[in-house]
Amino acid sequence: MMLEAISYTLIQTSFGQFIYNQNLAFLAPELVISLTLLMTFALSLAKTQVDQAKSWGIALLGSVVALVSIVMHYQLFYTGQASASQSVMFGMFEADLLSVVARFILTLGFILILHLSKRYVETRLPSQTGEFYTLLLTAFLGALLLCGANDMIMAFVALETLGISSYILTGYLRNNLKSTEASLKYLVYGGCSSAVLLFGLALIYGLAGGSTSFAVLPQALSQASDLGAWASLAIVMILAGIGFKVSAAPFHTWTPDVYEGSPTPITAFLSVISKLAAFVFAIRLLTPFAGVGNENVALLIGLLAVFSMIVGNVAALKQTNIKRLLGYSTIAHAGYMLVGLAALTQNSLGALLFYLATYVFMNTGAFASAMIGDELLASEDISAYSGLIKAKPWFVFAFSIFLLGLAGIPITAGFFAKFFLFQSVVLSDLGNLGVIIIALLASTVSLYYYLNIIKVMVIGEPSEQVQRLIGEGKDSTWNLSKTLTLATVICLIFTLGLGIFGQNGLLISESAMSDHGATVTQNLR
Amino acid sequence: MHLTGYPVFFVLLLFCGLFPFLLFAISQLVQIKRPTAYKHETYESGMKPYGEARIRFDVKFYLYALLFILFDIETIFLFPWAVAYEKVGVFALVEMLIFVGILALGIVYAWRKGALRWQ
Amino acid sequence: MFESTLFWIFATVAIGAALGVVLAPSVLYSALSLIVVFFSIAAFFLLNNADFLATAQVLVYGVGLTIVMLFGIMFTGDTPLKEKAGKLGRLLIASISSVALFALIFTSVLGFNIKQFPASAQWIRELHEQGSTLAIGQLLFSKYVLPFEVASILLLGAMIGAILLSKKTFTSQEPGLTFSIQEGRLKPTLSAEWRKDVGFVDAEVATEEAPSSTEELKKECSL
Repeated sequence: MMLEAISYTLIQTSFGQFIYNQNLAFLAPELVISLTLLMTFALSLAKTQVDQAKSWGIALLGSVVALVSIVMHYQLFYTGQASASQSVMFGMFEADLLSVVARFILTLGFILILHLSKRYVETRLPSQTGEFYTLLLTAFLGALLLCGANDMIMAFVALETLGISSYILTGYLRNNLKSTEASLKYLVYGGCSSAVLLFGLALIYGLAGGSTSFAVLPQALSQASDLGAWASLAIVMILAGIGFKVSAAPFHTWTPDVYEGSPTPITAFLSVISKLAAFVFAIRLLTPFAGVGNENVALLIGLLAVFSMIVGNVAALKQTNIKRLLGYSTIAHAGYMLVGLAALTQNSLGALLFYLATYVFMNTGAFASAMIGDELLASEDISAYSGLIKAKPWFVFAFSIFLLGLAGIPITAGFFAKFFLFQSVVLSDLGNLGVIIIALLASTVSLYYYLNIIKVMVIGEPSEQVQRLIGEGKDSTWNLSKTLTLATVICLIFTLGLGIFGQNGLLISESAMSDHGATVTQNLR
Repeated sequence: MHLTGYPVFFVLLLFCGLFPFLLFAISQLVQIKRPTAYKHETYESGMKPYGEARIRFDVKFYLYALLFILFDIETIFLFPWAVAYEKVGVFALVEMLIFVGILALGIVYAWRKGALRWQ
Repeated sequence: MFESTLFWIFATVAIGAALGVVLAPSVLYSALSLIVVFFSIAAFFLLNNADFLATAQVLVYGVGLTIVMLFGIMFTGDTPLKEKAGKLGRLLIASISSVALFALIFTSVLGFNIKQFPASAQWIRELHEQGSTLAIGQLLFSKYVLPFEVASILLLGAMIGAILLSKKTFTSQEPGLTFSIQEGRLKPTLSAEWRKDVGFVDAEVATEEAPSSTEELKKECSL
């Protein structure tokens, strides 16, 4: 009663009116994250490192609250209380089911990455803990906003919030030459790609008759008389920008260096959170083109997909550094996902979202394993993992599951994700069998380097580091980070669980896409 | 050009552009010339000039340049706010206070971390 | 008439200064002529009724960006460019790509008639009447208020990053600078660790140089 009375009086004020009219409640996760990052930022001013270390707890609390608010929002859809889609803040943000599902996956992934970061930051960057989580939360805020951004300006600001924080975090190990190099490379490539993307958006703005909203794009594009050359140019530029963000070949050249040089939790963040947000942005921006001139769009995305699958998988074959290998593997995965994007049907985009969800857990798990491996062996070389099963069998089991998932072996979620994705593309109008065949061949090639790591760990002769580990036995003073273990176990559960309950996950992502499809005036078939 | 008031601006710009040349020209015309070797030396606040003019600067200045450009961008946002203030009212005031408040935290941070302290 | 005269004046200045950027013998001169280019482009914006864009151009590019650029040049040392500009292949690639970019922008400007859209025609009329700054202000604080607020967090993040990445950290807890009285004079001493942190590699050279210059100064004074 009391609460109702208070909220009623609040709504009566002009600001309350504003919040109510503009559906600001649907931006709750973003608001929570903003407050959280201001709190961790305030903690970064604390004098002692003990106080600074509290920022991890605050960041975790904020993300969990954000997750809860997203689940509550989903409840509204589930019970039918929310209509198909709600436009927030003058149409800047679209609170449809797509944004809710994407943000749910994103927040889960972010919580996992927070768990990955804890020990790493405590041991390597103790004096800058507060700033680290502030920047991480800023990047996450950008990613969250990108999932629902329905306006070019909003999307660009969100993209830059994500990007600029990522550039800084990449170079966070200031005294490490590789980290600094990675940061510089990422900044220069990122700046150029943002400029190209912005040029493309400006052209679209002109074609759409002076509106920045994605919502008017379908109508504007179908009316514009001389769509041909200008729209193609705009699409090429936008795809170049998106290609950079999702690290698709030939815009992938930054990926291996940045992934190798940056702090490992940040590598995981870039490969999971950035990629997911960029794909949702691509879905929102490109679905309006599904009706008009879609053959060109599909062809271009298909080309990007083929390039990425070939370059990623072939280059990964020769890698000896585990982080670099995972970097090339994410390029290859961007290729598979682009195959789904190219078809531009409701089913293929639903399958793409499901793929992204499984990818979040498999890839975070793989990076968590790489971090544990780094702690155990003090090396990122694959040869150091040789014979590890004799010392740490459970770790080898978990890592193998993630690698099998990434390779797309049955029982793991990775298999079902790939299966649903390729199936939906085959069934679509624009489905190109050639692309599917290349995708299947590429997956086969990828088996080699994923299974090679497992082979090395299981039947290889124990390496120096592993022999030391075996020698230490139970006397080892080394203790595994609890948060890291928890993150690995959660990733393991989801990697296996999403495989078993894959059908349900697919249904949710498909309904998310159908809701999104409803908002773009049935352009999707 | 449809905006009013700019011809005056351009005339002022022209005047400002020409003024320094005018000063130097007058100086050249009026001055008494009695050159000596010392008068031809580079003036460096009374110090004896030595070394080259093009030296490498300490990288610590870069922080000031970066902070400057960030607040420069903030000014860009303040400018339309000031122009449109009469039309957008209290709502914009609150929005601007949030905006400036968040950026002011940045200053507090810089201060607290000693970024503004001369080393 | 007045307008077109101004246009040609600024066009000449802009192209001349842009050539100066490319042909100047030192990076410093290039940067200085870039300032002139930025200001003439601001004048073009003004001539096209884009008063806000002109202000932004002057504030961000003409002032902010060039300061960062000049600082950058001063940190790295100003080396003459002539020896480096030799490679013919590089020159060819640069000229082809810049001609291509020019062609792209030129054709897009020619081929793009924004007035054909009814909404934009109305916009242009309104902007002519009230100036763009007011319109941008109104939009910024109504429709685009969310990106505006997010921009503040973006700038805050950038600020933290700038401080974090360029600030010198002092690993030592002991006081770095101590003063002692030696031979009746106050003598500052920098601890070894701090000296390394600050980058005083040649501290000895610096102390040697100081008396020699003061001696010269004394000689100068006696003259």
